[in-house]
Amino acid sequence: MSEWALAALVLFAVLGACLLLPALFDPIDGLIALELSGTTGTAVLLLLAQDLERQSFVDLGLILALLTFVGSLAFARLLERGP
Amino acid sequence: MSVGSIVVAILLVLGVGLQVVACIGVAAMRDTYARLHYPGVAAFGLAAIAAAIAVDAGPSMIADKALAAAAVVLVTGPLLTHVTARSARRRRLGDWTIRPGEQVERIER
Repeated sequence: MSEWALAALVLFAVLGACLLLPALFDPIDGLIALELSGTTGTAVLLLLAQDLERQSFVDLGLILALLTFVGSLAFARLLERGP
Repeated sequence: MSVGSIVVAILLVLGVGLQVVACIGVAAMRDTYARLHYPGVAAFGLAAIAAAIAVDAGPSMIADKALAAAAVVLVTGPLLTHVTARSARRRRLGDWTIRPGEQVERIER
């Protein structure tokens, strides 16, 4: 296993933890976990593209980084209303 | 072992470590405003990972796109943090302006 795949595996565990957090806390904390998992997911996609030596896969990371911003803005707007 | 591979290893460990620390921070902090500090830490972890890819691949398309993704996250991160903090305060109080009795330093204009 290359160092890239190992790093991606560790970050996958972080993604799993981010999935668990919103179940335990308030929805607004779930939004913070979503922002964190967007960053971590981007890192996983970049690392996998480097590990598999498929240059075109890096686009996925770039698109995820852009879409996380838009998605989080929408969720922040919706969660303003209160419980 | 060349200098390049040592630099790549250091950057990878730094990047993955920062992301793990960010996840632990979000899980361990007491309230929403304390948790909000940690997605920024993860953004710097992503920047270190993108730098590791750029060092390993040299000047190429994969390096440029990885660095572009890191730049996008670094630029939009503070915006998202601000929007989330405002949303959390509005959710709790209905408004995000200063309440009477709150100790807030005012900036003279």
